[in-house]
Parts: sequence; structure tokens; C-alpha cells
Amino acid sequence: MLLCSGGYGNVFYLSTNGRNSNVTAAWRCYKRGAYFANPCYTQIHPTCIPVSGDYQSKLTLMSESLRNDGRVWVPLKPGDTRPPNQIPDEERDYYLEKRYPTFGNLVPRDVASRNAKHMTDEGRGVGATGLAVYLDFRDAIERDGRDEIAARYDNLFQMYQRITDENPYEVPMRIYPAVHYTMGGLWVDYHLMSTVPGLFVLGEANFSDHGANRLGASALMQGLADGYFVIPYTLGDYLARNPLPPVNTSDDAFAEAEASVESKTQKLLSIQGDKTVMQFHRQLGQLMWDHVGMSRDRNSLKNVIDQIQSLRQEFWQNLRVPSAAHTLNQTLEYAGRLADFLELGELMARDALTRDESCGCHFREEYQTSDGEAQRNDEDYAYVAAWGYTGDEQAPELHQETLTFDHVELTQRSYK
Amino acid sequence: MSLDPRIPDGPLNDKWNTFKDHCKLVNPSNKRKHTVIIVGTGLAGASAAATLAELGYHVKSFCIQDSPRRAHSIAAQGGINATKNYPNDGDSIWRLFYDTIKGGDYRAREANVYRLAQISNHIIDHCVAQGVPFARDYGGLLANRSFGGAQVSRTFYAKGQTGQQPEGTVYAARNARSGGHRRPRAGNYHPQADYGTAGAPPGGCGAAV
Repeated sequence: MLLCSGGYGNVFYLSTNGRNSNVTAAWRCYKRGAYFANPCYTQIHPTCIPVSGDYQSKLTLMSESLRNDGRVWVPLKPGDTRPPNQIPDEERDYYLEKRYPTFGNLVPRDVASRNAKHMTDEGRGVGATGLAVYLDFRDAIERDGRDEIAARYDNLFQMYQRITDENPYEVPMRIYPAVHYTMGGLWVDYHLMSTVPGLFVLGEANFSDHGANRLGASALMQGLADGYFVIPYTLGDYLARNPLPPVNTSDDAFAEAEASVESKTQKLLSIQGDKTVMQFHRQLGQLMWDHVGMSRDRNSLKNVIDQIQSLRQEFWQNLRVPSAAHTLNQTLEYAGRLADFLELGELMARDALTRDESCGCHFREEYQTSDGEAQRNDEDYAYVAAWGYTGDEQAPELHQETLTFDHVELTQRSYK
Repeated sequence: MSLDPRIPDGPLNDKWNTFKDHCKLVNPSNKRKHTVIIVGTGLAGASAAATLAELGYHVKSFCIQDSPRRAHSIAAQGGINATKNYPNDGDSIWRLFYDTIKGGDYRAREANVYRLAQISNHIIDHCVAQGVPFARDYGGLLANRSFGGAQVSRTFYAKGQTGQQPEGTVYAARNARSGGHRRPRAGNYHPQADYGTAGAPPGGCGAAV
């Protein structure tokens, strides 16, 4: 069996993922013996259209490729509310170019997101909410002409204009980081097999190739590498080495799984409380964004574990799912997804709390260099954290796969 | 349970070839005796479904969307990396490997990442053969642009729809594999609730509910 069910970014409620994307397939496999690796590694993508209000249901990505030609900036002075085109160059802070002259606007995503957050924390964010920075194509259009820029990005510009009613050929885009991709996922070995024999995990659903931060344009590469070129060999090797007697739906395992689904379904329907699934999802998302998002610290993580546990308790006491089980009931389906997210959220916070270092997207306030970059601790944390399920409402067990680096030297990552 | 990543022995750049040279194979007439269940039809799931069906396995491919083409891979915009070095700007398998390990802040497995960098070029060839309309320059060669964390241009793209284009072709491949018994059995809109483990070896994976 091959699990190719994508990532779990929707635990944050707002993300660039499809509304339907969920962790259920991976989570149910976790509960049946597959280890979950590095759950706290979540990519917050720097170039997304900013949140505009409370009732938004999803966020829209603006491709990183735009940073080939767009320049990221904020006003030099906090609280500068002039329209962007009226702010002269000397009063603009092209902070990525200034701070990272070698890579400029093309620093990796974790670095770009963290810097955008620093700017808005300093009160230099732009737009109505103050939670945005500019991505400006003025200079590129002057240099290459509007036609050339349109040839590269026109459909993205159109998408932006449809959503924001602003024309990025005329005024800078406003962008802000948003949850986009999860580097964590089910643990797999070199063969892409999980800790459940015969269960292989491919693409974003596994944890394997991106470490603590994925580079742009590597997700399609990994998904297609796994599916087209790796699994045909490793699956064949597994099938040829292991005797596999036929199984069918009269097997005890099937009956057991069916019974457990049935009882969970009845439980969800029988609560009949007075909060909707979406209300719970929004609450969970806000907790995750505030405490397990772009920056984390020990106390906040300890705190959020308690809060997620109480929210989960409330979910099972006060949820309302209308209608019945044996009909098309999308609220019921959604409730099952959220029940899994409510458990995963806690595991993510535990993983982030256990990893007492900063690395890639995992930025712990306690561990930073003097100039605010992520401070790794290779001596103690150069490992994959693979969590094993031990039972409902019980602490999961941490297994470590030590990472050895024979070919690259472990250095402080620098894009300056 | 001990966590053995089962990384092949030997030098980094030979590990994958060594594995392919020595792994066990399934006889063509035995492949049809196996059924592979694939959950998800994004680029990973659909490419696996197409390839395994082509090899002769029975494939059952499931997704939660009304159509497998609506898997979220279609939303990928920017591009796909490969070390073709068409711009002649100094790219190599080693550099993609190094950039990826460094980009991940030294928390990924060297052997996996090296294999990914090695395979990257085959992916572009395969996609082009299947008809993905990657952007080309005036002379007709495939064009590249830059992405974060690299100092070379190694990203292949199709405007801002680089996920949608391969998702379309891999979907076609998944559906059209040679016809007959090699066609993957499709199950669309199949939200799955749980999985069971059955069969030998102990804990071997089986039924989906």
C-alpha cells in the first residue's frame, strides 16, 4: 500500500492547502504503528496574499518565482501610511537585499518569512492590517518592459488582481507569510517504507528529503522522483523478498477497523452539542499559528499543549454534527478530519518543545545567533524525531534516527 | 523498534545505482498477482499509479476529490528543480544536493537527498516526453528561472502553473496506461476512514475501510 496523501498544513485552519487536504490517512496509519517524523517542521511561505478578514477560509500563494524580479521592502519609518508609490527610494527599506547581499530577495523561505515577521513586529508592516510587506515590480518593469514581465508571471498577476482588486503592474503587491507545506510526515527508510511493513509513503506525506526547510521547486521534484523513479524499484524488492498470502475483507483486521470507524462515527453524531466543526477548527488554527508558527518558545509551547488538550476535550463534549451517518454527510467527514488534527496539533507542539534548538523553519526564541538567525545544536539534535503512538491521551514515545554527515560540513547556514 | 534507514553501502554517488543493481525483481508474470493500493492522486500518487500499472501490477488508486485531477498538486505554481545546467551557470548534481541539505538546515538524510538530485534530470525528460509544456526560450530550449536558496537557475516552469501541467499529464498516464488489465482501477471521491494491518509478514499492510 502506498500512502500519497499530502501534508497536514490545514491543522492551522488558514493555509495555502486545498480546503480538503487533511492528515487523516497519515494519522490513522500513525495510530496503527507508523512513526510520525519531525511533525513540528512546517513551512510558512513568505509570499502569500495577506489575510484580509475573520471569515476567510483559505489563503492564496503568490509563487516564490516572483522574487526573481520583485523586490521586497517596507517603509523605513514605522507607521508610514503613504501609498507605496509616494514613498521615495531613500525612505524604503529593501531589507532582504540589505541584510543578505549574496542571495538578496532569493533567500530561502524560512529566512524570508522570519524577516517579514521582524518587520511587522517593528510596526513597519503595510496595508490595512499592518501584517504585510511589499513585493515591488516597478524596477523590473522599467528594466525589462511590461511585456517581458507579463510573459513570466501574467497569470499570477491576474490572480492577484482578482483577489485584491489592485493591479501589481501599477502598485506593489502586498504579501505576508502563510502556512504552505509540511516537511514532517510519516517516517520512511531509504526504500520509502514506513515502520509498518508494506506501507510505503511518498511525496509530502513522508518526511524524507527536505530537513527543516524545503527549498522552492523541490516539492514537485520529490513527489515525481518518489512515484516515477524510486517506488518501482523499492516496492518490487519488498514484494520479491516477502511471502504475502492473500488478504481479503473477511480478515479480522478489516472487521476491527470497520467496527472502530462505526463506533467513532456514532460517537461524533451522538454528542449533539452546540459548536460547529468549523468553530473548533478556527480555534485550533489560531492556537497553532500563535504558538507553533513562525516563532516558538518553551513556555508558550507548554501552555499550548494544555490548551489543545482542553479544546479536544470540549470537542468531544460540545460538538454538533447534523444529519446522519449513512448518507452523504460532509460535516461528519469534516468532524473526523478535525478530530485527527486536534491530536496532531498536540504532537507538533510536543515535537517543537522537545527540539531545544532552532533549525530551518523551527525557530525557538531561546536559540538564536547574535544577529537573529537560527542557532542549531548539532551535538544534541542532529537526529530525526520519530514519534510512536502509545495510546489515546498518552504521551507518545520518541525514537531517534541519528543523522550522519560524511560529505557536507555542518556549518552555520549563511545567505549573507 | 530500531530505526534502520536501510541506506545502501558504498560511496554517496553510487548508493542508488548499487541498490538498483542488486534489488530483487518481480517476474513479469508474477507482477499481475499483486494488488497495490494507492491513496492519493497528486503528483506522487498518480505517477506511482501510472508507473506501477505500466509495469504490470494491479493498481487501485483512490482519492478524496471528485476527479483525481483535482488533487492539490495542481496548485503548485513556481516550478520544478533539476540540474540540467542548460544556462551553463555551474550547476551540478552535487550543487543541488548541497543546496538542499543546507536549505534544510542539515536535518535531512544525505543519501536520500543525493538520490533526489540524481533523479531530478530524469524527471524533466520524462515530463517532456509525456507532453508537459515547460517554458522554452526563443531558440526552443527549455528555460530556467531561479528560486530561493540557490545561486544558479535550475527551475523548470510552465508560467505560474507548474503543478497543473504535470498533474494533467500524469493523470492522463494514470488513466491511459496501455489499456486492458494494466489500467489502474480508479476510485474517485473515496474519503477513507481507517486502515487495517493484516497478512504476513507480521503487521503487513492490507485493507482500507
